[in-house]
Amino acid sequence: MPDNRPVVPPRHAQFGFVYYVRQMLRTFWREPGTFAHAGHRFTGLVLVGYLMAHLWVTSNAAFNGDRFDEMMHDLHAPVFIFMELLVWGAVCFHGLNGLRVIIFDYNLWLDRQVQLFWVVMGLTLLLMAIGFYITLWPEVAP
Amino acid sequence: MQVQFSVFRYDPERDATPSYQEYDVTVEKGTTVLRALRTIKDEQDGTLSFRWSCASNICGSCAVTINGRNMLACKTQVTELKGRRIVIEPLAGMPVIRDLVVDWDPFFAGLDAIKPYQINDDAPPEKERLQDTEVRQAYDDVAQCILCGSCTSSCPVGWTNRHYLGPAALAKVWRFVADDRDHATTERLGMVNNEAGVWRCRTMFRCVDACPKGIDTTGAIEKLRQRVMHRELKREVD
Repeated sequence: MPDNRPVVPPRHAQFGFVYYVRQMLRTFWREPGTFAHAGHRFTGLVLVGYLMAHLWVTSNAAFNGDRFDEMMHDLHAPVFIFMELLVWGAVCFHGLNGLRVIIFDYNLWLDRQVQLFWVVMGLTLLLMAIGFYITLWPEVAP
Repeated sequence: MQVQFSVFRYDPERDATPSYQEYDVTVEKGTTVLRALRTIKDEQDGTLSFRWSCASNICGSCAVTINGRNMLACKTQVTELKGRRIVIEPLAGMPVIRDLVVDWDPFFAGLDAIKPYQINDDAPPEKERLQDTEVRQAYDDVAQCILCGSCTSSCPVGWTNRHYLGPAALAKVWRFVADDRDHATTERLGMVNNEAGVWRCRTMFRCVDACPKGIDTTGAIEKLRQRVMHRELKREVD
């Protein structure tokens, strides 16, 4: 028997990639688990982008040494140093949240996911602060 | 207290696109969202469609999205919600039939696929199949599921992947895997050991946050994952 029940046409349906992005942007900050997921995805994309840029810059060393030196000089501008620190933050969050998820895969602390989220956030901020400190005062670096 | 309800409206026979309609309702302490919706339907707009039945947090029919979160309309009190404007939408990830009424067929198709009943080919005992209290406690919470769909609908994975079984069906699998009277554990673990099963879960805990019964659905999925892993590793060793 044909199914003639009316349903919302696909473009108005509450699913699909566009709906996913829109709804996640609307609600990601409400629950720690959702924030952690959205943050993990976002920082993952940031790291992929950084890796691509890093490969592009370093590839110049093999083909055009002068150009590479120029680029390295330009990359010492404060704006790039600041962006590098943000990448460091992305590395810390992505790695620590990955450990948080692995802990759940071992069936541990499933009822403490919110607390673990705040531990991840706290450690990320701490490591970022250390990164800032070492960058701004390189003489303290070991 | 006067509260404004912004309700998702869509009649496929009349509307080209969905819209939101505003209704002002006077509420007091103890007024549930379901009571407010019924007031709107009875006194302001008889064309508003929504499902409800028991109105006592048991049947799960009235699950809707309230201010972006899946909740039971009969359990949620208006005064507990923040703000004077409350947005009510149908459950996400499910095709809308009309207004707040969604098509449950995909949800129940997923549930049917995992055989949500006890499989035991042993000769039936004279009275009943007895079970130790400790074994029962292992799946105590998932056995309370009322199939309201709040968890499955709240999972963003299901918004983009229609083949994903979803937390409700996966928790139901755990309910039977943990039940020692069920003899289809191997078959059940095979059912969920794929991309539409336990490995698609992204551990967001949204299902846990959405469940009106407080069921640890993510925990159930994680336990299933562990059982699947043990089974596969054991098979490799053997």
